[in-house]
Amino acid sequence: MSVMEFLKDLPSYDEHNFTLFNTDHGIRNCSKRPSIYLQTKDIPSEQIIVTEKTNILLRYLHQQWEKKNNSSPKKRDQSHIEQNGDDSRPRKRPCLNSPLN
Amino acid sequence: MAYHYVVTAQKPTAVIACVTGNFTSPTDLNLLVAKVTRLEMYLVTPEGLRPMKEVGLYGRVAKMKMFRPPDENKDLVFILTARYNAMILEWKMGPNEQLEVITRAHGDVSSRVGKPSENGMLAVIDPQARVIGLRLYDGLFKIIPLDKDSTELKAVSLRLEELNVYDVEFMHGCANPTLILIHQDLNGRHIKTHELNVRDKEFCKIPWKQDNVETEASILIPVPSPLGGAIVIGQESIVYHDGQNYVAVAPPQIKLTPINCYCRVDTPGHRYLLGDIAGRLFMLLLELQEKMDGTQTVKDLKVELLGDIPIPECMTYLDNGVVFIGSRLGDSALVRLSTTRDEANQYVQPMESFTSLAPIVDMCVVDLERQGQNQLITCSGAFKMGSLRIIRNGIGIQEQASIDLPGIKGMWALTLADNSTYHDTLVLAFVGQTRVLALNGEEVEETEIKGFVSDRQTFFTGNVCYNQLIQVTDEGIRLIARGPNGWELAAEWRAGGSRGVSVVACSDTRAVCAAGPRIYLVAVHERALQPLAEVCMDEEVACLDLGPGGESALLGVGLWTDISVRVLRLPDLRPLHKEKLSGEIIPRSLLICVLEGVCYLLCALGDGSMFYFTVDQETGVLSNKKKFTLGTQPTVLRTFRSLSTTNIFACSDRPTVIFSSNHKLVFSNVNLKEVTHMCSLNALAYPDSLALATDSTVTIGTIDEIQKLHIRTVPLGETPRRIAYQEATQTFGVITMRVDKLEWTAGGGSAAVCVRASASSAAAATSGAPPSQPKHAPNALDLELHNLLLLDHHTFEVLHAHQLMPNEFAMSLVSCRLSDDPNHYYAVGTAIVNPEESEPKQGRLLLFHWTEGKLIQVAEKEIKGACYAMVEFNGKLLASINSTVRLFEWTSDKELRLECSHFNNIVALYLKVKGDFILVGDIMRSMSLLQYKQMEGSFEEIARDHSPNWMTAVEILDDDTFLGAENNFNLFICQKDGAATTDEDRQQLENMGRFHIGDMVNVMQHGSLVAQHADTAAPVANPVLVATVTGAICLVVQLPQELYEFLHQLEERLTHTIKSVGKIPHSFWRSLNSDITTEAAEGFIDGDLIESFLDLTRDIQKETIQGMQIDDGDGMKRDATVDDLIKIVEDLTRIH
Repeated sequence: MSVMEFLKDLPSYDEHNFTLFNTDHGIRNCSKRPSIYLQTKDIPSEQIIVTEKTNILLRYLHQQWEKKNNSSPKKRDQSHIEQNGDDSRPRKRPCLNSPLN
Repeated sequence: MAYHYVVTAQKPTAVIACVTGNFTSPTDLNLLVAKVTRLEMYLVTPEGLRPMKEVGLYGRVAKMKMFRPPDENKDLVFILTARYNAMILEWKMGPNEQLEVITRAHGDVSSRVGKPSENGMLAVIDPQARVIGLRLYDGLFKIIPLDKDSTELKAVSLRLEELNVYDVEFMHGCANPTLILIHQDLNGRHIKTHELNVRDKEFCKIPWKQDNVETEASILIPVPSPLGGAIVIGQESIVYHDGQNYVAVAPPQIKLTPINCYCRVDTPGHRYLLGDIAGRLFMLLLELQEKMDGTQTVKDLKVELLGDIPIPECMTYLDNGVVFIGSRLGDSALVRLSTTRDEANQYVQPMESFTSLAPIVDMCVVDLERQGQNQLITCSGAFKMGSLRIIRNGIGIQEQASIDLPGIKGMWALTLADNSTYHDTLVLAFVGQTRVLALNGEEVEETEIKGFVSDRQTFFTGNVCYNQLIQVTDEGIRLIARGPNGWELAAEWRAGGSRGVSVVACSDTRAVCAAGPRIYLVAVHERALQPLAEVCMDEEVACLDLGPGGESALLGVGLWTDISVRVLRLPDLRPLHKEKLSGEIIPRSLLICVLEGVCYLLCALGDGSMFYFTVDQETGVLSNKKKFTLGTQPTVLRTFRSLSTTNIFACSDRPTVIFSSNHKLVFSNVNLKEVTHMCSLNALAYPDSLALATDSTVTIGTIDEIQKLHIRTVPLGETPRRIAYQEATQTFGVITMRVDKLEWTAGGGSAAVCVRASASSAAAATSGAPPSQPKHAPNALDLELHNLLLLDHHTFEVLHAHQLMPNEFAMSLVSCRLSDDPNHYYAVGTAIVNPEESEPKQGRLLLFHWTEGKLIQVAEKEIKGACYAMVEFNGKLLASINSTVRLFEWTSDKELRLECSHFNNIVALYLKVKGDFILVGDIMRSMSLLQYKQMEGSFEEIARDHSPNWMTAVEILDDDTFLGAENNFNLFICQKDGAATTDEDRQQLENMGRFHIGDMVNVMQHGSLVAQHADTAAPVANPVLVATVTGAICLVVQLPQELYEFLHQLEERLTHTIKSVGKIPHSFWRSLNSDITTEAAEGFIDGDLIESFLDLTRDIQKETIQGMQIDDGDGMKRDATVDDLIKIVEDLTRIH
């Protein structure tokens, strides 16, 4: 298999791109720098990334607990736990001393 | 207290990541490049890459990935910084056609507990943009489900039972997001897949796995649908696996060096480019076969070597066979893949290079041209991309030709040939005469133009409309047109009255002359001149210039006696504006021009100073008056064009190029001593050139690219480690490292073979040990060879290469004069490296003398360890050897003799001296200060910083203040308190300042890049240049307390005015951060933030400084104006 086959029909998004690139004077050195963007308008983020504070062991135990209870017929307990689970808040108050973004 | 100002003179240049996508609009094809803290957006166009916008982040980019949410028609970028800030950014056109960067989402993804993974952060995005996955800590995998409807993106950590993960990717074409990863355990490396249940936030099953892939497998490439599966790149083999189908190949080409990056070429994922750490480019092709059911599967993997590229860090396919290669070890590049091979048998052709200084390992500051202006010579790059870089503030002129002609008073280039775009004639004016030079190819000969007067001094000549020429002398205007017998005088206009014309300005269709106080406007028609208007000014006209605008252009006039500038409007010469210049020096040259869309009026005075204003083109009103000192002699201002932008040349005893960058005027000096006149020249033999006249000669030369810092490259082809300058012998000493390949010979032995020609192997003369196989590593394939090179300080030609012994590493280099020996020596400190030892136990100090073109070794001293640093100290040689600091004296028998030692370090890596004081930087015990007791001949440790800092560079700022950089990218200041009451306090170096510079500092050096004579009004002291691993050069200076406090206020206000892209607070970014602590920045002003004040619009500047108080000079406070602040900040920009 020749290299021609490797390099034939290279993808093209716009066939004009790079067609006027002039390398007659050797390799060009890019010296133009883009202008600098400074944001002075306050655009609030649409979304904030927050880290779930629940310890991964606790979450695992909760999940296991839910699974176990799901399979058992004690409906009242289950709904009680599910409420807790929906809140995704353990009974203990989470420690909030790390910066909350 | 310590008050410092840190500013970046050269931004980081190392490329960390690059992606191609449709970012700025659904149809734009963009390249986004991350250079540590900066993101650069480019547009792919037929002409090449067009820069669009650069954005600074308050964090170091660790990972950058793009993705396209299912409901969007553009790509977004996910960025993770080294300090665990995550963000999703979008680029879009704002309402005023300006590109804006929108932070779509942001947040902190760090965990309070967890062991950061040793093999770095990994970030991946599901191909269907359902979830982002992060591997930050061992044993944990963090997922961020991309839920577009909620205001919160909840990141959840999942337990990942594989601890040692090398690479992770999301696979294509899976119903649920499915990870594939390479992990290592006691038995080797394995690949494994995990299906993710995003709703329940858990891994639900393992669809398939493959134990025991290659032991060095490190890269996973997910293959798009319909093929699916993934490619595993190992050291020697490449494997494709999709759960059922397993194809493995071991192409011999890839065996030699590990592959470290890849990019996908086509959307179906049949072709990939692979780059290895030797800078070779391969293509990987998946060969397919059709199965019975019509679907395709991978039949075979083919690899082909395409050619050489820069050593890549990342790469991305752009369009039509063009690929961007990002590098951390040298210049990045744009290359084209072509099916035809060039002369060098390469399928890769370089198109464009992107200068990078990274990594700067060492540097020296020298004034090579002896013009009071320093140049910085850096050891940059590594391996085949190793180079020296000569960095100069200012613009260079490369002389092409010169003619001896004294007494030139003016100079213009003309085009006489019909239908030519090139100049072919140079007109020179002298007192009482005018001479015409024809440019025939490279030859220059004197000629005549019919209709031209030659016995008078020309004040102006040029090509004007209807293919005519205009010549202005004291008599008046002559219009010269092409007649049946060549050029002839077509029309003439003479000024009435007794006064001759003395100043003139001319456009294509209009000429304005002044004789005494009278100004005449004359229209240029075909073979006719028509007086249009005439006015009399209050005083005599000293200088004038026509602005753009054709028939209703603005005219700027500078007057004698009342020292004022007037703005008039054509065609009736109606006065619009009057501006008094302060002082008694008359204006001598005036210019109106538009740079980057802003109209300026510049007026240079007889004493070399210059006022400049922005001009309202409607009303002619001048505003934003500023003054700048260009030189000490009368200055002539001329415009010229370079690379399609207009710039200004100020001819004076300190020639200066004035250009606009980011809508600010930048003054950059030129490497010429004096220029009296100049003009643009674009002749066939001298395209894009300038003609420059001095008192005695005319020089034709080309000008460097117009930019503030100018960088010249001296390629070495091997890794430079240390550099020293020796003025006495006009040489540079450079320590380099070269990697040779060992080849087995028939006799059973081996011989080292150069991989390529490089500085040390191609030197004019060589000496030292012959390369031979080191005893310690008989089976090694490579051999590291260290050389001392001597380079001529002008040509940078390698005069001599001295090779050290095999397994001897050169560690330090200094040029020194010892004792009363008149010779200057190069001292080299080495280490004998034996891999079985935890640290070197042996080394040598070598002294070399370069004389009459020969390198002579004058002394050799065995030492017990590695010599990490050396300095000349009181005529002796001070060296740090492993944990000790030792002083060697130079005896009359030309021997190095140990005088005294100091033992209180783990590894003493850095030494700086001032007087009798020695600052020692330790590998992990911060800095300590020693004093040399001359009488006793001993060292005394007088103070020490007890914090556990792992140092990367140290410098002495003044007698009591010390600057340190450590490996968590922080700078800190320690101060000695000699006046403290207790011994204990005196022995403590107190930590007085801290700042997160966000980059690994490799070297610090006293000095600055701006000329010493420049009028830097900013009251700063003790400049220190700081160079980093990513190729950035920063400047640290000391500030007086009042200025520090004032700037601190401005800094605080700017953090509110300038909104951080990615919403990382400025205070978080600049706070000192290490594994154990985070402390707010103190004692340093962030100069980059301060200087961005100049980029704000005036309204926002005004808003920002509302209520700031400034000292008016006699101790009274008043409200600061925007102009006060601009002056202070502009002065600060001129220190670098």
